[in-house]
Amino acid sequence: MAEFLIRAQASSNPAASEIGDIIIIRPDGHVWGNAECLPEYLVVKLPRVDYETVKQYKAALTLGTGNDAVIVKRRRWNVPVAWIKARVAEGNSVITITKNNLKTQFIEKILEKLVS
Amino acid sequence: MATQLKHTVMPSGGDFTSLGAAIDHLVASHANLVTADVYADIEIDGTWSSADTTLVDIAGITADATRYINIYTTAAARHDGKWDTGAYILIPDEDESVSLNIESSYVTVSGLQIKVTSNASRTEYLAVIRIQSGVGCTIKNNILTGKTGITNSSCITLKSEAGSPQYIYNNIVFNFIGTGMYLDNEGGDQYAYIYNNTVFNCTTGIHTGRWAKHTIKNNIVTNCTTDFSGYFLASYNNATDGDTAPTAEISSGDRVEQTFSFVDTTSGSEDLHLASNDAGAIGYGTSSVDSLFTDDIDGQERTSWDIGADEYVEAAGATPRSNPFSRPFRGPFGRGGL
Repeated sequence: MAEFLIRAQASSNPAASEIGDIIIIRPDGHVWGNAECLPEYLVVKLPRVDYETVKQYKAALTLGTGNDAVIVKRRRWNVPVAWIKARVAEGNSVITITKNNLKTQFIEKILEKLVS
Repeated sequence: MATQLKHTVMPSGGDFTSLGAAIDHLVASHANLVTADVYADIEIDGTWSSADTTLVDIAGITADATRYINIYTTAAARHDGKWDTGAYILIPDEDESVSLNIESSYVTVSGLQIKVTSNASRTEYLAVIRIQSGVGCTIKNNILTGKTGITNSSCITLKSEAGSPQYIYNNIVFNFIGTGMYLDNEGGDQYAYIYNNTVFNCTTGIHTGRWAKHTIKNNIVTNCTTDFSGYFLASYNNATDGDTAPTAEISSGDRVEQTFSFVDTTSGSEDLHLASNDAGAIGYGTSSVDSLFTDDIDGQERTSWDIGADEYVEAAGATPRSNPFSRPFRGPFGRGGL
């Protein structure tokens, strides 16, 4: 099992992560911090999913090559805002979803959309 | 007067379990430290049995000289001047090209161990710490290394877009394919102060551009293919085992073809504290940096001003080296002792 910490609360800072952004991913059984919960964060547990197979979802989105590479978005992956808001409305800081949900929920931020 | 805003990063029992999450919270909820009139302390504490594997990106925070961001380790989480798997370590997974990225001003990073790893297919140059932009940043008392196959990577990268001043001191940089410190300054108005670092076993030790902006003092560069590269503003009391001193507008006291003695240079268990029989660094530094700091990577007071990150302190009788940041003795059977 892997566990995801996902932003659940919006910020007025345009540089901040967005609702649905995947902040960190930890292996099963991780003991989360006192502030890693609602209202700011949601913990999503994925049974029968190995950490090594999903750790890529905490990667940054980088633009450029060589010495000109810069991080344009700290979080490359997120899940739909509506889905997060629905989970937040349920009031639980920790939820468990199935592996099949994983494939349909994660969205890669596309560079062309970000700069347009 | 600014007040403290403090968050703790601990394996358990703290506010956050990852430095990356603490910074995410700071950016989202405390983006303007100046308006709020607070300074942010991010304290890394506790005993760590596994690495923090999430990239840290410090960007989008407004700070000034008195309302700053200070990331530091407590005695429990801090290394003892050598790589310590029981202390805090930041090693992002192989899908990142930088471990700690700074794009804000007045950020201090102190007492961390950080490594970058990557597969060789990446097209970006890698960096352990990269100061992309911002002014007034301080990188001190850290141990930095990497495992890369990308030769143009660098342990500490200071980009041209960053302003002045920048301070890098009391760091150990070792075992890095690439440049230990890459001080870019192609046309930028940037002055950096690079003092008392130990750079060991890198392809290039310290590199700068051609604009003579950076001052280097009291650095050891050894076991590197190229020791110094580029044109510095000033070079004082740097030492190398090679035969070429730094090229600078002003220079004094630099030492070439030196023999350094460290506690242990065995691959995999490096301890780059100066050994008692060292003849290349002990007592050969300049104290002209003492307005900035007066201690070494272990927190020990500098008295003879040795070159490099460590100040050699002679043991008194059977008393081991004192280290104010040492963690409590854990006993012969591991953590917690008997």
